[in-house]
Amino acid sequence: MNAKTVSINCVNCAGPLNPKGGHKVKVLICDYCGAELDPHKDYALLTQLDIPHKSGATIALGTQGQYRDIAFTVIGYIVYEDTRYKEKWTDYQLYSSTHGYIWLSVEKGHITVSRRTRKSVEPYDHSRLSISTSIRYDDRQELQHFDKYQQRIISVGGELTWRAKRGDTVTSTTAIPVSSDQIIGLSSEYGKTEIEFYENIYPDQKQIREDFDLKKIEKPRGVHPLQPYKKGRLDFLKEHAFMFLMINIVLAFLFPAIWTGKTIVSSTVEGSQLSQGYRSEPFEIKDANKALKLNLRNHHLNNSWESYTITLVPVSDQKQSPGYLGINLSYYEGYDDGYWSEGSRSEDKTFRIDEVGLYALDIKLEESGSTRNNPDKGLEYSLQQGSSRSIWFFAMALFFFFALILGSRGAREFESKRWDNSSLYDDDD
Amino acid sequence: MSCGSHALYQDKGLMLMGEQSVVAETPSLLKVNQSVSIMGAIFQVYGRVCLTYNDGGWDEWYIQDNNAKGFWLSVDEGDYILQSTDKVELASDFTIGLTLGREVKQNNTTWIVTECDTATVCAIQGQLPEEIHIDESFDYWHLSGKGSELLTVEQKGNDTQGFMGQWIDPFEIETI
Repeated sequence: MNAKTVSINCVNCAGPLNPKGGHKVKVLICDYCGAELDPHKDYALLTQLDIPHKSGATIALGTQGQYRDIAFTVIGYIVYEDTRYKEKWTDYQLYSSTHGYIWLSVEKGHITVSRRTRKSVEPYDHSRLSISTSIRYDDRQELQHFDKYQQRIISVGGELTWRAKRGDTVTSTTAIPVSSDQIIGLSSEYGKTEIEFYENIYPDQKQIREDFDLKKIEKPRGVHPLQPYKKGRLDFLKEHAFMFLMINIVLAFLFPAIWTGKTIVSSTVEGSQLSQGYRSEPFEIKDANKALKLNLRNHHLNNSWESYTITLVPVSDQKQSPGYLGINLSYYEGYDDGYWSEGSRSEDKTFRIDEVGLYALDIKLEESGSTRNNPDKGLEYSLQQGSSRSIWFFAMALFFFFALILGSRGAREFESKRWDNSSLYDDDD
Repeated sequence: MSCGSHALYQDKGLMLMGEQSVVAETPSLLKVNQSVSIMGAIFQVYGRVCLTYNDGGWDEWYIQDNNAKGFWLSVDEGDYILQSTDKVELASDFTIGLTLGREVKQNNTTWIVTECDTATVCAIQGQLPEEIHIDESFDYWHLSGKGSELLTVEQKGNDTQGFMGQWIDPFEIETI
């Protein structure tokens, strides 16, 4: 058994009433005429409503449901209006004979559950706190002061553990989690004999709707201050974007150095041969689908430059040359407030061919910044196929860079919306 | 259930210690002569005292842990307080000026007065660690400390005594 089953009739309008709350219920409001009855004096009339009563409850009184596997019954409700924004919400009071009273609040389709808490709260008085002031709850949870506001009672009905009167205003403060991955907040109300704190929880919305069969409640609009940031399918990528970005940048530089592919031809050309033109030994290119990488390297180049023309020459007469490549080597170094260098002694060119077959390389030094007639100053060249290309790693790095930017922006925008309605009254209000 | 309701009736034949009464069974996580798990620890329920305050009432359950150490578990429609039966020494004038919201130093802890009222015993059931009489009244104060710690101060005439305890989440109490 969860709630008592007593039937009475309103002493004002004779409407049937079924109180289901406990002895802490202070008032029973007839949902037909709005009369206030005193449950501790045989439901005697406390106050008669002087305006037409209009129920504001979407959830019917007597509705039963489970919260954390405990049966609760909806026994009353209070419709509030924020005196600043004129936004309305409804707090439903629920009762369990073993677990007492909880509140189920419905605002813009968001459902939250509040329970009275006696755990420690520091600082204790929130009435004059600045926005975002840190509040420590239960000696472990970090909250931030969110708001201090006045709420006007628009409509009341059913059984309530305090005598809420239409038109009265209540001053409340709220605190929300520092991070949107927590769902516990805090609110405080100042009573005549007690300072009351309530632990507010943003439950799984689908689950709570199912548990109380809340089909009439509208879908949630906007972001609730206690709403946890819901991770999407791409959030794993967003969360690890920085790591993936770094990995791809490292691989972009590392992989080509490790995975050089298959060398088709490589040799060293004496310096004296280069100005007249050098032709390599014939070699066979067997695969036209993979890119070819030509590398020129001059270990002895120093404070000078060299400009080469390299032509891939078909050895068989019927073919035409795929074309020529221009490669410039330039390397300078010196001391000027410390050692410096610029340029490179090695350059790569990547290209493709249309036809397989026998080819040779014609390498000619077109121009240089110094005389090149020393046989020792050899030029190394190599032609490789199947080597890895950094561009894919750079492309992936770019992708993760944007994922990092967009991912953090989404979380930032959500966090900003959580704080949208946070503002404080002036002390004079 | 309100202890002052017609559901209660006196039965002097059950008196074992002072006056006792039989209390009608209502939905409760505790029952006399049964065991209960509180925050994972097992307790045996021995007795129950029903009290009234203002327009309501609450139950004080006398329970013992596995080491036969006694505790009071106060239950008031979902509000649960577990208190040791060991009394805290308080100055005779401790309650003077003890108003709501006031901070008090006791045992190197700062306590804040969060509740004060008068209670009256209306029914007794089972075995209790001390003599308690129906209709006796006392003033009480709840002082909240660090975490969920609670110091309850009771005053009967000139006799002032305190009990250390803590609020218990009802979702952490299970019947066995």
